[in-house]
Amino acid sequence: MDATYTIIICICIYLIILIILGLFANKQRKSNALKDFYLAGGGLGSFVLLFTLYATQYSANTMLVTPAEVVNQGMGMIMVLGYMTAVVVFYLTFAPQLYQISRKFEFITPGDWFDFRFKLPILTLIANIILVIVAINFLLSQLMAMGHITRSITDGQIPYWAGVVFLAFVVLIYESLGGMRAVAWTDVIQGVMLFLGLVGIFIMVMPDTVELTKISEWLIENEPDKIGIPNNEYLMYWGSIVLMVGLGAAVYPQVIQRIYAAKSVKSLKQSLGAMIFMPLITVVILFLLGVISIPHFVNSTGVSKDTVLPEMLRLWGSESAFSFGLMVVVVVGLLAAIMSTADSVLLTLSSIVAKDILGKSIFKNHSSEQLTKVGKRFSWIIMIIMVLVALQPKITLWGLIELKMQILIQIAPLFLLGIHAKNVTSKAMLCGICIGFLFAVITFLFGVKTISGIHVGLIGFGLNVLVCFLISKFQNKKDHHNV
Amino acid sequence: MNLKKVFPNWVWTVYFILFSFSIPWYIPKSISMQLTWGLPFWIVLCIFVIVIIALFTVWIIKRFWKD
Repeated sequence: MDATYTIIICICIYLIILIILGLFANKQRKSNALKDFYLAGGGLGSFVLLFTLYATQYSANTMLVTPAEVVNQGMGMIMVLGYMTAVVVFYLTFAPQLYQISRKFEFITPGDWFDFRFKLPILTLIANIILVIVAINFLLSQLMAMGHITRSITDGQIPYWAGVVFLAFVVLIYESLGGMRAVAWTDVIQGVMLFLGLVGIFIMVMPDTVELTKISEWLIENEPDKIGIPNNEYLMYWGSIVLMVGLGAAVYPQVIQRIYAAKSVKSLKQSLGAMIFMPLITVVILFLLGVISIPHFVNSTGVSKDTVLPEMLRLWGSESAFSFGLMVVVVVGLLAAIMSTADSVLLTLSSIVAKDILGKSIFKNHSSEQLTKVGKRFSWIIMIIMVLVALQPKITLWGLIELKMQILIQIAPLFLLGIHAKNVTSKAMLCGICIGFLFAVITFLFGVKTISGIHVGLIGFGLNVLVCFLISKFQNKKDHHNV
Repeated sequence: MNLKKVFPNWVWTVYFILFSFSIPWYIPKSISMQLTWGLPFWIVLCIFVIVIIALFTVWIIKRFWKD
């Protein structure tokens, strides 16, 4: 049978499994309350928690960009390993305290923490608006990736529009049926497939040190910039991006909700303890796959980010029946990586809008069950709008994707300082966020990405924290004086 | 609200030092092209430091984060 048709059949089987899991999760629900739908009743064990964090954290972007950028830019891309590890380390700065308090006061959304700690509605609203902007941006990029990857792995047999529409439809179906329970269970399937496929491909195609030495020696002779230690400006950028992505990705709203959803402290500890090794497996494999792909793209310049891995997978898959099987697992795993990120973002987005925005305004007196219904309806509406936007690539917001991390990091002080700095006041936090956010947006509009090698997002974060401390100090002094 | 500190402050200093050493600013350019297991020495060192970070993380979770 033709390889493309085999891949299409496997994708169809995989999508059917996802819908069956959604139906099963629907039967397992205990109520229609917000906590049951958005946090799976707060009962995620360590295994499910680990793979739902893994599948959510590793989007198609990481999978496709890492090998492609190793081919394009060289070995400096090992910095991806640093920032994916930093994300887990930054969880530890606030997750233990946040989990405890979220259980005690039954938190559902990140906004519940903002309300609890700062008690300033305008601050919660602004923070939620930033989270919604980031989530919409993220969702749109995943939908577009669905279309591009489906077209690429099926050799154009499934067009871009069909990839976007059908995959988005499947995500909506299983998510509406089972909420977080369905999302977490499908994440386990998606995470395990991706993980096993990558490890399998790696074992199969990984060259010995002799072959690696040949590639490195070729690079030393022909493209020394790709193998040598990067220049000082790049090293500065490397350090700032580790901090920025580490901090920003640690406060993704979908990750915060997974912390709330942990069954116990033990589950959370075990899953984070295992999660810290995931970059060492996933990113190192992707990095090495990029290195061994270099000879295949010697004459190509500016290799597109969605071509390296799919092309190499097609090549490796043609070596034997076993390698073809592994290739199919990775290919479907790539789709899984996109879908698992999209479903988590959609679920979080609907919870923030239903509970924190609409639930506090036009649906103020609605019950928890009614708000769950509102959230489900909102998921369908926002997904339909996003699909329509994704189908018009000319009016897409690709450029805004870069803005995502530098505005998301402005939310990090709400968790870090909120937990560790008792003296930080709500108004100071509000001023800090506004200044950090404005700085990130203005520098983005002017096309400034770095200042002296430091990413502007991190500089905005520094300003945010500084303003926060200065105003808090001033306010506390004033209060003390008045007393 | 009284949120107890879970990890001692020195843990973050250790992380700062380890992450600083995961970036090859301190390796002389003269040895940057030396190969170890087929890869440049600085890449192997960077991966090694991240392995240390992972092991350190598991240790601090077990040592300081109580159920």
